[in-house]
Amino acid sequence: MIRLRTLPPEEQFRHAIGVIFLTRLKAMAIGETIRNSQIWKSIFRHPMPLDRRNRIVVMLTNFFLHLHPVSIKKQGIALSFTWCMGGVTFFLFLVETVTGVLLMFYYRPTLEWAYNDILALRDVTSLGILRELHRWGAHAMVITTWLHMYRVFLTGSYKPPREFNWVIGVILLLLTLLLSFTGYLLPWDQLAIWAITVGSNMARATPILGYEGPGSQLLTIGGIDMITDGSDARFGLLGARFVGEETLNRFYVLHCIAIPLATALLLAIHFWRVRKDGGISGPL
Amino acid sequence: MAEKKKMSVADILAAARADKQSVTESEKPGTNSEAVASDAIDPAATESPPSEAPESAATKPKSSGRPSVQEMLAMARANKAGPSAEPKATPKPAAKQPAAKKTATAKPSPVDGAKKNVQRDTASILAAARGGAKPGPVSKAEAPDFSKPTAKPAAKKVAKAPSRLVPPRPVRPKQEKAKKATAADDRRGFLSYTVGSFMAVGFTALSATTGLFSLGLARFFFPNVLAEPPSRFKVGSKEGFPSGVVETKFVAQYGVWVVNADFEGVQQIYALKTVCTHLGCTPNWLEAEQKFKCPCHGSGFYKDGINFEGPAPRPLERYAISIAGDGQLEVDKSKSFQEELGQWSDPASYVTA
Repeated sequence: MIRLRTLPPEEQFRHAIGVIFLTRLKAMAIGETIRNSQIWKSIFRHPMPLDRRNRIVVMLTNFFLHLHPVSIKKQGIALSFTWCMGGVTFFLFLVETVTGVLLMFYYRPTLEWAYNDILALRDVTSLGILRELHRWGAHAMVITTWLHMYRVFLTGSYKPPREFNWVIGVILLLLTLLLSFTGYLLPWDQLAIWAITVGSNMARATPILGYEGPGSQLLTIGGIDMITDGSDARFGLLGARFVGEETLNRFYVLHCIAIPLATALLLAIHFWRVRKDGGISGPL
Repeated sequence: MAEKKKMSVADILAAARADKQSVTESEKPGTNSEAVASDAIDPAATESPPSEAPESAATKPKSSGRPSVQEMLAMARANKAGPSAEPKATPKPAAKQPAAKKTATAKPSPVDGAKKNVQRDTASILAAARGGAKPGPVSKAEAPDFSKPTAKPAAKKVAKAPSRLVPPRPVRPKQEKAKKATAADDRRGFLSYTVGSFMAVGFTALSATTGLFSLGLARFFFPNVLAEPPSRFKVGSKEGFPSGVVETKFVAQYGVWVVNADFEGVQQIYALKTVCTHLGCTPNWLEAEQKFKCPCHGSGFYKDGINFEGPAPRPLERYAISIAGDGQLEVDKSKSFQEELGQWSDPASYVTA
């Protein structure tokens, strides 16, 4: 340092540049070694993406990148056109998945513990704020799903050849709402219990399969009703005649396993179809 | 085979010539292999070592039914080197032997070989030998003059000795197939006629199984036994319910209010179902205001269960109530009575106080 100070400023500058350059060279050499190692080459089957071909190869050979098309219309991804609502929804789905898995480490779906565990997440667990992230993410996901649908409607992107993808999208909307609905019960507070009581009463009026619905009398064998409050659609959903421990367990499994799996599968098909049906639609 | 692999160029040539010889003499049953061998040891083939050539030549004729890959290679190489001499030779089939000899002599000389006998890759040689139908990859230097030689030798070969170089492709037995397609008289044919095909049977069985499994899965969600409080239960004698009382102690376990009140001029004891007729919440009995009030959306009901405020569209429901054999009041939740249907006049829906 003393020597540096004695040097004229110009020399000091050159010296510094030299040091930086050498460091850069060393880093490049290390990078080269890593890229030439067998471990690296076993994972990435392509050279550096410096030309057009290899950039394409990168997109095609990477599991995560291959979901995205190699080339897209510039206008097709304009924020003013897509609002990025589909992307935001998917991002929120990922957020919900990650935070949801973390919450499962603490939450027990039983009458004894469900509510206490929710309180403990707030009061006892470090970073229990994850629960709020999960909750707000869920609300946001419902909203962005609607907005995504609204955008698709406004831009006419539901029209052929994308009509089947619209159907998948509607199913995904229903799954999103069901995820929200089933997740709503899990805190097991008064709001949750009565919300699910009220919400599931709609299932009583299911045609044929709900015991108060139209046509429920059609399913009788030997004068005995097959569809009663102990065997109708609502019962199948709740696992009991009233919202109780069975309901909590059923909703927990639905919320954490069954519906997310179905959603993930349909999401994959949804994205796949976007590409197979000609990519993101162009501006009108 | 081991011998064949080790063969030198000279061996190959000798073998090729021996092969020709054998074909020409094949009609004679007594063809001596030694004779063929002696013929193969031609003075023109100067390079071939005398000890080896007879051996390989002797082995060849025995397996001469269909030329092996090696033999074809040998033929092709002979032909390739040939063109300079062959144009003269082609008209007379008898001049085959000398032409082959010339090839043999020309080939070993290194100077000539460098000029004429350019080595091709195996695929293209094979292709040329088979008639040049589909030439394989060729080196760049050779590409331009490749088209000529392939076309020529092919034509010459056909003219010269088609039977040796390219054996005729065996005719496909088409008749059997035709038989199969039309045969519906055997058991297999009958089955496929009745059910389409075995794939159809398989997939039908699969979908049937899947359907049954799905039905079973639906049944899976409806247990045979429910851990619920019994639907018939005793609540005590009449005397426990004095006039005007709304008993709330059965709400938590059974979901019932037992009320002793006046309804349409008659003093009755009845069991009200604790389910709001709006959306199914449980109202609270407010003693001070003498009404049932639902916390969810504010529906209100009088003591007799008639709705008077909030969104509830109809009165609360009654369960069946009766006096059991031991004199106690017994509530039966399996039957309910609705006021708007006039069912409250049913004597099963109340007990006269």
